[in-house]
Amino acid sequence: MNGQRFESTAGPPPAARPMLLILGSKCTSGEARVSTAGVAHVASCTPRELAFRIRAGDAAAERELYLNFARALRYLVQRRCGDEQLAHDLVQECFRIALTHLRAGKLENPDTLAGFLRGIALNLVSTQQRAGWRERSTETDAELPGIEDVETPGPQEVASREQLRMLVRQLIAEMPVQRDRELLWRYYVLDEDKQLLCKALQLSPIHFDRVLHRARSRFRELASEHGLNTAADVP
Amino acid sequence: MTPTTLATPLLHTLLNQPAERQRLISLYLREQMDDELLAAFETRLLEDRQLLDDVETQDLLRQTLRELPQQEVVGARPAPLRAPRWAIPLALAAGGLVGAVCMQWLAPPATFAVAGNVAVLQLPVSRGDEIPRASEFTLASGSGPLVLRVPATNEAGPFRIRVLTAKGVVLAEFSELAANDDGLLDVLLPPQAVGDTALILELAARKNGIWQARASRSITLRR
Repeated sequence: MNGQRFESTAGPPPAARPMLLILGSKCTSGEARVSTAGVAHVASCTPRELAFRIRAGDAAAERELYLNFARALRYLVQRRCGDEQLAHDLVQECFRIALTHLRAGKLENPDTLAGFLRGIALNLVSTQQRAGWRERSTETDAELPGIEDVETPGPQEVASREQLRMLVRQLIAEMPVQRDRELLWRYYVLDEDKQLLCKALQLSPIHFDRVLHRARSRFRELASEHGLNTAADVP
Repeated sequence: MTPTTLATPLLHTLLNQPAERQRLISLYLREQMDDELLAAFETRLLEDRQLLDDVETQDLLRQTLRELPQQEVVGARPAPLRAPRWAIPLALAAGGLVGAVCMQWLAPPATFAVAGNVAVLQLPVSRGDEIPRASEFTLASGSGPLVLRVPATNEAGPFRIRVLTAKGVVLAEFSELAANDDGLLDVLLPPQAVGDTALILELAARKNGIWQARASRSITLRR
């Protein structure tokens, strides 16, 4: 499964602990931080450490696992299934399966934790696409009480479509150079290549990067000003 | 697929270079990564919050831009020409007894052929090429209504086809299109599509409830 090999080595029996993720602790080498949306998440706990702590029965490590990976997993799954609620359900199930294996110490190489989780999630998406999933979602939620308390919503989950359109309209209105607006459209909507766009619009690659970077940064700023849970700037 | 030991360190190196990072994000959002790179990239996405932030933000910007009319974003310029992500032969068929003019977007070079009462025109466009001006075609005089024919698979649909003037005015819009048993989208073009002015033919598919442009083409049809 997922390209990972599992061993039936010793460890706490998976069924012995409830699937409960509890707020309030952090890994020894990591630190907790709070995003602008007020949602706490662990910044730098290593996957290896998390895996070992979960195997050792540390319930807080299970919560950290969720905080570290849930948002990204939801994003990956939703890109594939196109359904926010379904993505939520599948990610819940992904964590249920992952915790079962991690508690039993069945992840051979803890450094591959992210790939392990991705593999489970993608398998679940495939299963869902073959057989349908919705009938099982209620049962899954019941097995993971408390998880809703530590959700880390991404910007897509927070903003309404109309809010976003309004922000992009403002972004466009603040771009005085028509060529820059055209660049944005051709790059993001028409998926034209950078090299061709540079040639067509007579831009240097550096100028191209600068225009896009400014647009992205301003979009984040606008979203932040409107209370959306946006990302930190990326150079 | 699990990323190989080769793909992962290379990816990490590339992601530390701003231009390469942006190129990779763009490849990811355009769904143009092969399986191995995709696995390595998404694994990194799970581990790297900053990368996730950047990808999500750009995805959001990309999706939202696609919900806005081009006119609103770009202004009054004609729609830029582009090569589609996947090969979409566009067919223009002259109705009645006259036949059809077909355009193969990705097939070089330009050819024009008549088979029976069907005239087929292939345009010299390959992926990523720029076309400096609208392609022009002259139809036989006395030809009937025009049918625009686009091969498509319903798995990628539903589709929308719009015919716009160069200034962005919509002459005709056909939504919720599904391919027929022959795998073709057929729509009847309005009479004003034939004239001396350039038109934009735009194909979009609905994904996650949003119409996303798949291809657009500038063309002038004359009799």
